[in-house]
Amino acid sequence: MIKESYSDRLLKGLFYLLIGLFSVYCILPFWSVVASSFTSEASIVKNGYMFWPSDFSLEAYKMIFKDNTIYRAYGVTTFITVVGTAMSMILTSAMAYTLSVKSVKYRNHMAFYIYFTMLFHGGLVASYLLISKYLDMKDTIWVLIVPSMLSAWNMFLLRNFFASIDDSIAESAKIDGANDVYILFRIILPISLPAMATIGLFYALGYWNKWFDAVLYINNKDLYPLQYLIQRIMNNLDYINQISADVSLPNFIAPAMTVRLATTVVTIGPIIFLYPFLQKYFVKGLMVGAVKG
Amino acid sequence: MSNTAVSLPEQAYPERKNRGKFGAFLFELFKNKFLYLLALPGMIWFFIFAYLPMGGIVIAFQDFKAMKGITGSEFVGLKNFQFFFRSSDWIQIVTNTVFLNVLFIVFNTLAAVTIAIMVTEMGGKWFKKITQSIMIFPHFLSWTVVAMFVMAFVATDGGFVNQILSMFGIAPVQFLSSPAYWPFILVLLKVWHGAGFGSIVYMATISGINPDIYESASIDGASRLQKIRYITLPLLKPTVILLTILAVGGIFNGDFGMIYAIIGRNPMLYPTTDVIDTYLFRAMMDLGDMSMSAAIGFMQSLVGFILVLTVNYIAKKVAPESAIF
Amino acid sequence: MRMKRLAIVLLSVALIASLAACSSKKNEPSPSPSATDGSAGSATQPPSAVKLKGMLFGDAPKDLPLVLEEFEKRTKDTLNTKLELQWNPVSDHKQKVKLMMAAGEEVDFVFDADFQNLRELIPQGAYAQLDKYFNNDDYPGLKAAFSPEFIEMNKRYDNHLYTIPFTQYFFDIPVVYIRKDLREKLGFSEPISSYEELQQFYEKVLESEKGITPLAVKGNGGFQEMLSPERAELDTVRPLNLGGIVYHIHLSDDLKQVQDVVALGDQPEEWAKLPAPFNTMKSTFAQYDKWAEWSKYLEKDVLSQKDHKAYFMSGKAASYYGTISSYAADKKMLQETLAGADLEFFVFKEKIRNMEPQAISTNYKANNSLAIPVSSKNIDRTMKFFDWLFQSRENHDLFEHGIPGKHWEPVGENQLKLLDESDNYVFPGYEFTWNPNMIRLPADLDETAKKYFEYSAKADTYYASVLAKFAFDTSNVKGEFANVQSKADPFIQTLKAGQVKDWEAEAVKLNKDLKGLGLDKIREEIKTQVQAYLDAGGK
Repeated sequence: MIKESYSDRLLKGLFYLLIGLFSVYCILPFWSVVASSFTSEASIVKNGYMFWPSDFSLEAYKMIFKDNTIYRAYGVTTFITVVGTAMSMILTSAMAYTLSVKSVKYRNHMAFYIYFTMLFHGGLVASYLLISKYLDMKDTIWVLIVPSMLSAWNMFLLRNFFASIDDSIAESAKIDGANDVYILFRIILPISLPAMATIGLFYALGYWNKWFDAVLYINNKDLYPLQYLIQRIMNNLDYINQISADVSLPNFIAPAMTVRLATTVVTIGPIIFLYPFLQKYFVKGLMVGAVKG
Repeated sequence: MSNTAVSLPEQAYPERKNRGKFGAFLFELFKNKFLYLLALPGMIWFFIFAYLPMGGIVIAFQDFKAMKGITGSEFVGLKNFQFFFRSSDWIQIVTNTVFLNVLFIVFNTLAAVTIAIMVTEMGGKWFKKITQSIMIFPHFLSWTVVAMFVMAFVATDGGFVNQILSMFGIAPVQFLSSPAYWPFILVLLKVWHGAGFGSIVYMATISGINPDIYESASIDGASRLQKIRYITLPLLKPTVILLTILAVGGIFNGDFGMIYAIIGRNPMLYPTTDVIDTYLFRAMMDLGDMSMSAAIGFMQSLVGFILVLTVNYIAKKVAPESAIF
Repeated sequence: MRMKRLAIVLLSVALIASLAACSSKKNEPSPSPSATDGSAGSATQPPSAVKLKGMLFGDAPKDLPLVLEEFEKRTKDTLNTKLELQWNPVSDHKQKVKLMMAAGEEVDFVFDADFQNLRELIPQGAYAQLDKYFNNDDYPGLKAAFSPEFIEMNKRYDNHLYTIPFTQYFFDIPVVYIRKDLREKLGFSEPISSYEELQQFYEKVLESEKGITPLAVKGNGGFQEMLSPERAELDTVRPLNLGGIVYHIHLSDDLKQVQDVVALGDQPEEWAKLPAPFNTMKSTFAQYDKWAEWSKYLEKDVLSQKDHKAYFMSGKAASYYGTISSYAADKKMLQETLAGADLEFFVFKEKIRNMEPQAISTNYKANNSLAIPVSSKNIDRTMKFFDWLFQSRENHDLFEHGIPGKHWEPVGENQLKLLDESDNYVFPGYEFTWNPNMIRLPADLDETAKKYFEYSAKADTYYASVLAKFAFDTSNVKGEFANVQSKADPFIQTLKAGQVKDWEAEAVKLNKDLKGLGLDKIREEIKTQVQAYLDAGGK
């Protein structure tokens, strides 16, 4: 190991400091959200947000979990995240690889064909007609996966990663007689782990947070994805406040703000557990195995 | 267009010099048949879910009535676009939109790249793991939740910032009535919200760099800073360019989610923060007219498209591998 | 070759996905055992089974299946109808209904209202005309619950009824809610009963309670109805509020001709054409000056205030603007949040405060209603169901409050007591069941509030003002309307919050800008439409 010079260590120290500060800047509000979600509504109304629950209460969480629907929603969302990410990754990496191979003559035409769809959309009415009327996909679990299976943005990013891989690797494999599919799955993908992890993460988050498609196409309670259910709870809380006012239900105070915060915690939770597993792919020099300190 | 060092031995294809355009097309498909086959499902998917509904764009040029549907509504040409350009504020609004977006793109990229470099240079395993996870948290807070915090910060009476100012004897600033501060505040918020998450892409790119390059640089006596400057940054360039071009396509699209949640309907702040999407939202509140909304959306797409064509063309000359098409 | 198989796998994945997507997993509406008795002519033969699909918004109450079961049990032989309700999220209902209509889906009834899609969809012929079902002896329930006047006032531009209107009170009385404890602390022994007293209270708050804002209002609502001049309405000058701007329509003495339409900011000569007290802008909008004066009682960041009630509940304000319907819930919330605090209200409109008859002008239009798409195949059956619903208190209350003995129990004719399980059945009556003749108030409601509720339920509290039924159609001036509204909105908002001191000059300036955006075109359109409305016999 080559000894680091003084200026190098100074620089490294500076990095630690800046990153550390930025992390604090990031975590404080988040911590406040978590702490405040465990407080009673009355306390929040009076004192605003805090870093430690002054009046500990699980009201907000009870409100969210009181219905069985939420467990089902977790199940639905997990399913579409796992299955959806897998399907998306397969299709996306196939496309991205093709578009990255320089000898493919029409790859720029194909890239344009795909890019065009990023900018121009036909609007809600057209999509609704297509999916609901012509493809008849309403109230199926696939409507939460298929219409959003490919993201042009992710695809271009992945194409970029593939393109940065040295051509010689693919070429030497070709000489040995491998065909393109073999090259993709047996050679390229294994050395693209950071890229695959990144794109996989993006897709997974997309599926995990999915709610708008559910608004339009899902009416069956058993198929509500998690975020959609949360949105409904939030929306309906407002009207419950109204309705209880009109009918004067004296015993009912709906925790609104704390529930809003609790829903954030409920949806983020799983992602926080996923990300550390992916971090090992973001270490410098993963490709050839040597890890530099 | 092949840059390969070793060329493939030609197979026994018919040696015809002039295959004709269609013939050349088929030949290419056959030559790379597996590759095209790999891409085929994706292409079909885009056709079904992106191109088929594209016919709906015509709503922007119609007087769309829900009961008449797309095929039955009357065609009115450019009429739906008129109202926007006749309004007295459209120049201000468009300027805001573009200005804010440019700021967002520039600062987000700067911050994300910087963070990515810093993190990948660091050593401590646990410190790295923890800070990496923490830095992406803000991304998951919805803007409505963030807005509540912002209010607590900038409130005139008892807001955090004003409390600090009063400790120094400075009079409280009425942030919520002073438009001038807000581009700055919005950029700060956007960077806080997105830079940590945005750095993931760059970290992945850096991870893919062959460490031998760094080793040989070290042997040659390069300092850490020099290594960053001459190795890491240039190798990040293609990704930065790609992401920037992709972002340019949306330069006419205001960040509605963020701006509406934070600024809301506070008219004092409109001069510097009102963007096309928030303006449209307010204008359509009572009307709910789908044609006019579609028209503005189309205009935003068109402008973005032209810009991307331009930037992509330039990129092709300067850094060919980073261009989109 | 193994790898070739991989390519096939790829294609198959995509194909399977689309196939699975195409296979419909819709629950086939299970036709109930068909009650087709072969015998014809039997008078007690129940009609064939039908399932009515309805689209509402919000959340299905937890015990709704129980209520539906009870309903089906009671009506098996008479209606033989099942209800399938779809509950859209509140904020997306408007769009979903539009999409559904555009896609031509089959639904038997939807919630729709002026603040949703009614204004747009009725002229397009989306909904069925329901005139013949009301005041019709074949539908006694509907006849009893919906008076001819009520129906008349809910007819639309072409004098047809397109909705089943739901309302309880035609007016939710606006009040200023006050901290009773603060009032007593500052030396006011009696509840506030006039604007003067209110102002004195606020001055005292500013003086002795630093850190408490006297009045909390919402950012985009401002003072709203407060401080508006109490004066008799003139039949010949009618205000019309479009997109925030108020247009005063001047009619001839015989109420048949439209003479002028004057807008905020017009030149004095235009205003002079109107009879007093509308002959100057200052006297027409006397409240604007007051608002500027009272703005010192508001918080400094009032324009950003999105939740003024929470602001009040946290103890930072001494009073807030609200409506009487939320009294009980708000009182409870305040008591639980701030120790020692109590809530009372001040009805600031004098005539209403004194509960005089004919004090409230209304257009008798229900804010909420159900509409029936023309494409529905079960219009008769749907109306028969609603006829049943309104036929008796029993039927109606089953849906509105739940199962008696389980969720609630009746107290006399007009009141109810909520039982422990009432949380499991919170039904949005305004979407389905509200009716002025069938209101039940909680028995333990505060006396002060109760008397106002009863007052607002009485028919003779109200009167119909001229042009009450007129509704403006924006289709011809869409672009101008959008531009005028977005230009005027900031000004109107700051004006309502009392932040504009010299409003007259500002209004004139704004008016000039609006003229450039098409204000006059809108004005002409109003004239034309109102004239057409009057010519057709409208009042």
